[in-house]
Formats: sequence, C-alpha cells, structure tokens
Amino acid sequence: MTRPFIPCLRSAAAALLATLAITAVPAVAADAPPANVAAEAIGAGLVQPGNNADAFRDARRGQDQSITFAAPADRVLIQSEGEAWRQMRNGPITEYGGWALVVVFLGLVVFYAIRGEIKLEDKRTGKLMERFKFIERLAHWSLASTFVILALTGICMLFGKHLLLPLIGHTAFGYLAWAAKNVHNFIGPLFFISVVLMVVLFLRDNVWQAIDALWIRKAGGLLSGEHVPSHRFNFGEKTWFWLGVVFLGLMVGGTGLILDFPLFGQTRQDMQLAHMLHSGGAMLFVALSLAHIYIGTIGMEGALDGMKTGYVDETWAREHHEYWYREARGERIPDNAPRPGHKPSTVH
Amino acid sequence: MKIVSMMIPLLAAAALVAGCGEKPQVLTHEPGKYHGKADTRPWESAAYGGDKARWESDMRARIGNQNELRRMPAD
Amino acid sequence: MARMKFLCDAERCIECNGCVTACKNENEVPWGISRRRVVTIADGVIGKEKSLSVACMHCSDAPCMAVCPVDCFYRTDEGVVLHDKDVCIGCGYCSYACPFGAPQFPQEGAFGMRGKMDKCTFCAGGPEEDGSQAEFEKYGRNRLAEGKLPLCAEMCSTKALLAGDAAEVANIFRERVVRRGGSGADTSGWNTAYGKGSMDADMKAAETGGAK
Repeated sequence: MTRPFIPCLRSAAAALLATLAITAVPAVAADAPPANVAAEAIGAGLVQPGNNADAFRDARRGQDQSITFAAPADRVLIQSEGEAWRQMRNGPITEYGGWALVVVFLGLVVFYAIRGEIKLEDKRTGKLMERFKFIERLAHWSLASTFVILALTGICMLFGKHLLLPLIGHTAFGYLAWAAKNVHNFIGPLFFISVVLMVVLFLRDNVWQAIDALWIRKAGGLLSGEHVPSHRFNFGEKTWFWLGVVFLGLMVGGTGLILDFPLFGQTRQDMQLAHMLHSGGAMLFVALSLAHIYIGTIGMEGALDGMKTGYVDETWAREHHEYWYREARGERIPDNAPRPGHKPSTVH
Repeated sequence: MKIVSMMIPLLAAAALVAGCGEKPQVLTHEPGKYHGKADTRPWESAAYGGDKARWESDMRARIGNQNELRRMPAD
Repeated sequence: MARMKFLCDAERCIECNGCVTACKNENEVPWGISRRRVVTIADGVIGKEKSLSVACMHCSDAPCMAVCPVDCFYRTDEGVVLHDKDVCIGCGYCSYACPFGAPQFPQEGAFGMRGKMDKCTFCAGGPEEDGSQAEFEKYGRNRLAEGKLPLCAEMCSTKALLAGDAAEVANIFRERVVRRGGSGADTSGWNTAYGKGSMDADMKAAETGGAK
C-alpha cells in the first residue's frame, strides 16, 4: 500500500512545485501589486464608500474603460507590467549581462595564458585554398562591423549611466547617448539584413555531419591540442552559427526591429517584452562573440586569413578541417566517423 | 600583432564597462539636488526673490482655496 | 511643503476634460501629446460609472527615473519629478516603466523616431531660468514659481482634481469623504500602484511628520 503511495506523493509534490514555480514567478515578478490589491481589499473589508480606492482598482484592472486621448501604445491607462520590466532590466539583464561579459573575457584571458595561440604544427606550404567566397566575406564583415557598432552603442545605453556618466557629466553623456541611440537605430536594420544573408549563405555547410560527434567527444581538441577532423565547418563553428547567428541574431535583430519602428500599433507591453528579449539576448550574444573573435584572431594562427583574404594555407586546412581539405583535393573521405545513433542533418 | 594590439584595448574597454552591472540604477537623487543642469527653486523666482516663507504661505492659501467646504457659510 | 501631489476624487470627476484642455493650453504641449488624460470606467452604466483624471503622479520611487539610461530625471525639494530635455535621448524606456503612461514622445523625423520626452511638470517648468522663454518652450509654464498651483487642478469645475502639499490635500479630501458619509483608509486610491513610494504612503508619512 505504501510503496506506490510514496512515488505517487512525490510526483504530486513535484507537480505542485512545478505549478507553483510557474505561477509564483510571474506573480512575484510581474504582478506583485495585485497581491497588495487583494490584501488591501480584505483589510478594508472591500467597502470604502465615497473613496477613490475602488475606482483606482478598477482602472488598474483595465476592463471596461475608455480613455480620452489614448495613445496607440495604450491598452489600459494604468499598467502593472512596467514594474516587472523595470526589475528585469535594472536587475538580471544588467547584472548577469555585465557579469557574462566579464566572465567570458577573463576566461579567454586565462585560456590564452594557458594554451597560448594555437600554432600550425607544420610549415606553411605557400599553396592557398579558397575558403570563403567574396559574397561570404562581404556578409560576414558587414555582420561583424554592424555587430560591433551595435554592441558598443548598446552597452553605452545599458551601462554608460554607471561608467561614463560620472566621468564626463550629464551634458556630454547626453550627447553621446543620443548619438549612440540614433546610430543603434539606424545600423540595426542593416544588421538584420546581414544576419539573413549570413544564414542563407552558410546554412548548407552547417548542417549536422557524422564527424561532428567526434568533435563533441573530444571537446574539439581545444585543451588536448589534438586536431579533430571536420568538414568545412567543425562543430564549434556550427554551434556559433546556430546559436549565435541563427537563434540570437534573428531574435535580437527581430525584436530590435519591433523596438525600432513603433509604427504598427505596438503596445507598451509588446515593447517591454521585445526589449527584455532584445537586451537579454544581446548580452549573451556579445559575451559569446568575444570567444568567436578570440579564436578567429589571436587564438589561432592563420584563422583570420580565411576571412580576410578568402584563402587559407593548405597546412592550415589540413590541420583544422581535414575532411574539407581532402575533399577539395578530390580524395574520397573514408566514412570512419562514429555514428552513435544520430540522424544526419536534423537537429541543432 | 597589429590585430592583437587593436583587440586588447577594445576587449578591455568592454570588460570595464561590463563590470558595472548593479541593481540600483539611480545615481544619487537627493531632493532638490541634481548633478545635471541646475534648476532654481520656485521661491527663487522673480516673484518671490528667495522668500521661502512667503511662497509657502501663498501656496498654503492657494491649496486651502481648493476646499470649497471651507468657503461655504456655516449653517 | 513636503511633497506635491495630485489627487483626483472619483466621486466628483465628471469627465469634462477641462483639466486636459487647461493643461494643453497653459503649457502649449507638443502636438500629439496629452500630459493629462481622463479614464472612465464602466462608461454609461448607471451608478457605476467613475472617472479619474491621471497625469504624472510624481512618484517617490519613480520608475522613469530608475530606468532612464541617461539619468535625465530629478526630483525637486517639493517632490516634483522633472527632467532635462537637453539630456533626454528619446529612448522610450520611461514610458515602458511608467504605470500611468505619463511620459509621451512627439514623433520627430522618419520611421516613428521619438523626439524628447514630454510629461506633466506639476506646472513647475524645468531646468531653465524660471519664467524664461526657453523654459516655456521646453517644459511649459512655471506656475509654482508664481505662487500658483497647476492649472488643471485650479480650474477643475467640480474640484475633483486637487493639487498641492500631500498632507493638506489629504485633509481636504478626508473632510469631504467624512461629510458625504464615506469611510476608508486609502485616500488617493493608488497606494496599490507600485507599492512603495505611492501617494498614500507619502501622505501618511507627511501626516505623521515622517516625511523625508
């Protein structure tokens, strides 16, 4: 009797906890005031004749009301969601976002100190292979340049108040932030177009390939120094493509467009949601991009050549992308990669 | 090496800026004090010339005038 | 004069929008902006219809101030929340955070680009010389410096909208509520808005002499 009862109880408790977590989190974060409303209603015995309390409560509830001079952004006159947005933006997004940048940066410093630059093992042959076509480099560098501008201006708007404002004063910082906002707003759409172009151009070579499993098992050989074979892009590059460019790029870019063009009847609530996704995603994006920039420049010998000139040395290609190199030379790739039950080219 | 010397200050700047994530977002906002452009107080206007007491008594009278119950004849 | 506050009596407001018009005219607010707005609940339902006139409530714990990326807001000695339009960048964050939709933006330029934020100043102007042309053009009339209250409240025909020192306004309202046979502890009604820093908290603090 007790045996089935205990797991049953446990699962019930787990379900209850899950429900509580789901309901309590927004209740605490978004709607703390309504709890006050309830408490106040009980405390006052719900009757406050000739008083304002009921009218304000009804106005807050937002049902059955008409507003004179309603702006397109108003769904109700008195909104509660603003407080949740404020706590999110001034709290976790600023705090964890800032720490994410610091942690990734310090992590890279430590990694560089331990591992140093990943050098080519053999001498350069002097023979070059084309790695990126002109259009691919164009897409990458337009994405990269808009990204850096947007990151710097965005960081200026999120953290500048704490760092720059005390240094340069209100007037100078006001002009700087004004310029930053406008640059951010005008560069943003270009970034989105670059992301879309990037996705289209690089999608084909970023699908799952069997050899990627080996890369995952050996963690890319990043610490061991071993060279894991891969096709044109290894799994690390694919992760950056799918998580960074596709997911974060489209999300941050898309929400940015919502914020940038408040012409389509977006309510304040839509803007709050878009802003939270935008700034939260952007902080993650910038933090991850530090690692990408690192490995593409000072972290690995010869990595920048491919994106700079379009050509890489054959030694580099052979050491870092063996299968791609051999395929390019017309060799047949022995499909010796382990296949631990992966369906090819689906997820990620 | 040129890239290295370019990237290091850039990343250092980003890290410096990032170190400032903290919850209280408002700088010191003491009443009546503002670190931006200065603003005069209402009683420092031409009409009052810094006479705070006179300004306050005028305001009090004005506020009291909003109470029509006080203006009604007692019955 | 501890804290300047607005108080709108929902029993008296007749949705005449006189306050809205008075504000627009006195301050010559930018096109498309209404610093003060009237909300009507249960419009047309006999016995249930209530109206409230709402503008910037000059919160003690002002959300706009907390989220402004350039920190252009400040609070005067009288508890009035003002901002510097020279510093404002028109990002719109204050309007996301404000419960009352008080901060509004004139559309300036293409693609819905926002101009400098505009909101109720409690007829206290802004950070320019009192009564100067620059102050009037940016922020509107500085009636406080002339020893006057905001025009919306002063010309309210039913005296529903009251303005002034929180404690004194609360006393007027309480006297009124008692006289009409009402009761209840929450004078302004919006102590529930964002919790702390609300009008009622301020009023209670002012009454007990505990005002900061």
